[in-house]
Amino acid sequence: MSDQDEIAKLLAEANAEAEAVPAPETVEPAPAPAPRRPPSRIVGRNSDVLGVAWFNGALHAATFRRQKMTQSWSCGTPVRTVAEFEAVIDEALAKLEFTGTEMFLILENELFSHQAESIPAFSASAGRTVLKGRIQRHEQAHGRVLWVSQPTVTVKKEQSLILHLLPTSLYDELNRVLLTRHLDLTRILPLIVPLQYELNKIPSGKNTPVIVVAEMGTSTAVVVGRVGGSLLFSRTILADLSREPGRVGVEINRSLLYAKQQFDCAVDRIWLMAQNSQASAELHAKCGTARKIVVLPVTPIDWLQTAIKISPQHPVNLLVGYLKTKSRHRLIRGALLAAGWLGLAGMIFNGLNEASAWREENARLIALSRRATALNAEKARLTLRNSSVERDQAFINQVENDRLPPVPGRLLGYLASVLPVSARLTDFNVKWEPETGGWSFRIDGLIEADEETSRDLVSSLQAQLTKSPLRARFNENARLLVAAQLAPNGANDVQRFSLEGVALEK
Amino acid sequence: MKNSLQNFGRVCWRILTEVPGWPDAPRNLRIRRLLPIIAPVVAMLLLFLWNLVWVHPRIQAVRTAHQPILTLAQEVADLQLSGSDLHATETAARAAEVGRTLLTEPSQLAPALEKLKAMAHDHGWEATFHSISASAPPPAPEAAVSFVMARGKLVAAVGNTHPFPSLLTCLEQFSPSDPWIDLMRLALRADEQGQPTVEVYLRAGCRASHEKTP
Repeated sequence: MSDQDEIAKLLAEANAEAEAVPAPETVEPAPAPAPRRPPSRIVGRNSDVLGVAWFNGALHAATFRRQKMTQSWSCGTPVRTVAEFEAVIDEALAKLEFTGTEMFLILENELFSHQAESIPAFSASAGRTVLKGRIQRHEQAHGRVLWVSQPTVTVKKEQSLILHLLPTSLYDELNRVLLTRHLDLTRILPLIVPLQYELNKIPSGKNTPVIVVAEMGTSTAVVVGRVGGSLLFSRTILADLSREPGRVGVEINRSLLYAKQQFDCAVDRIWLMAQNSQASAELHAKCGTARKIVVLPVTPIDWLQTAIKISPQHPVNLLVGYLKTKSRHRLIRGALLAAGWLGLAGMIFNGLNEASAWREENARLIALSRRATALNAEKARLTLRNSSVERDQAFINQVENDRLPPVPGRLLGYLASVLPVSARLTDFNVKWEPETGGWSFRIDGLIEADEETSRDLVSSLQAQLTKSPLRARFNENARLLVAAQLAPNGANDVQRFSLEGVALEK
Repeated sequence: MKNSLQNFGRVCWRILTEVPGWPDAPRNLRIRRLLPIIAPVVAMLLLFLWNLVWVHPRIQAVRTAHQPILTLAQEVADLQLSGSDLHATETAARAAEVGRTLLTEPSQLAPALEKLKAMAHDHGWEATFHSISASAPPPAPEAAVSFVMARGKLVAAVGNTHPFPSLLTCLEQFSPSDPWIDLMRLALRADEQGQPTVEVYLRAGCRASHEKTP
């Protein structure tokens, strides 16, 4: 269900409740109006928009559906105060059979002022700060205002703009009146906004300077600008175009001279947007025959039709901040709504998953409990098995680690293979040393050669044993080489040698 | 601070209960607008409390009650992971095989030595062996294997014209794996005529008396 549908439903219920209240049996002369019950219009479709043009005592209203006007109404009596406005708005709603809640207002009166201002052409933020300072000073003197600025043509290196200032008290009063009628005021526009919109649509060349004159109740608005470009300035002439065309003509002529003098802009065409063209002759007389006056028959309802085409986010809308806040609130509410339901869905999904997981876990626990005896038996068997494996492994390791390699035979065999031909062994001892984990050996023998040769041979023998896989390491102190006289005639030299060392030492 | 909180609360209330196009909607309608937001929040809160107060304690109680059986199952799983029946069978077979290379008692050394003697004779050496078990180092209390020692003397037999090569062959076979006998020491001495005399010290692995048969 959309917001619109929901609100329609809520309003319908509220209306039904109000209608259910019994009418008083006796009619008393009650001067104070009874609290207004929700009007029947809020029961139906509420996407329609109500536009109200309130120009210096003249009030006109029209309803729009998708930017197309459906009905219009003009108040026959002057409406100058909020109290008078309150009195006629109900009539307008009834005549127009308005069923929506959104409303916009084109406002021009003596309280809604438009001031020309110039600020130094600093950065945008600095300019805004200067502007805020001026607004604060204005508020100190005249009370709080709703304000919005509208840039115009920049002259003399200063940013020119029009400040639209609406007393907050007036807005509050208007809003109170509208709220009691369930009307949501989304736009307050000065007439200059639809005027500028129409000015830009004038069939002249781009940047052609033109002056647009429009009547607004008992006053007359004058806007000077370039087609498709910036505004030069605007004025409000407190004179009725229909009743005082001569005076208005004089003021328009002054505006033309002002545009020529200040902006060096010669305007030769005046666009008169009024309900009747009777004043054109007077204007022609006052402004000079050289200037062409084009009359466009425009009614206040036409301004409403123009205003409905303007975006609610238009920068000159005095309530643009309100609209932004409203949009932000709607976004926050939508996000919270989505987050809440998504969170709930996630929580339910998670809860279902957890419940399913718990059911499985519980079933597993029950099954385990039933297997307790078997598990105990299995544990005992596995404990026995593992301890048996551990014991067997230790036994195997000990037996295999404690075995001695056949080093004595291998050392003897290797020694025999590398022993020089002139040498022979007399004594050979090899013994396992459990303390060092190696094998100690002692080799005694004879070499039939002179001492130097014998020394070389013994050294060579040592080197070969050292480099052998047996990794022999000799005790240098125990190395011995002495001459031995074996043959009685001394024909050959015989040297006795003795070597000690260790092999395969860890 | 209090005012800030109040303002914040008011803003929240306004945002959450806003009726589109009806800024001054009455309280009951605002509350109805709030329902779609508050309902899931309340439901989530109730779910959370239900879990906290009822579901989780109940689950925890069941888990606590089954903790011993869970521990037992975990222990069984750990024991299963630490080895396999196949590995246990293989290890037992290997241990039995290794155990067969050991003497079951020291008295079995004599027949083994007789075999060595016969083998030496076949290679042209006359051997004599004597058990010297009294000199063997005492086995460690936890040792699975003890040793019995023997000393032998080998003399080249008459007619052995190549004593040294035959000695090398003979010594190779003095370290049989079944039964397990190690050659620990070898002393070779040649006399003036070059006749070698060999003295050997042997040790044989013997199953320790406290060790059970694998």
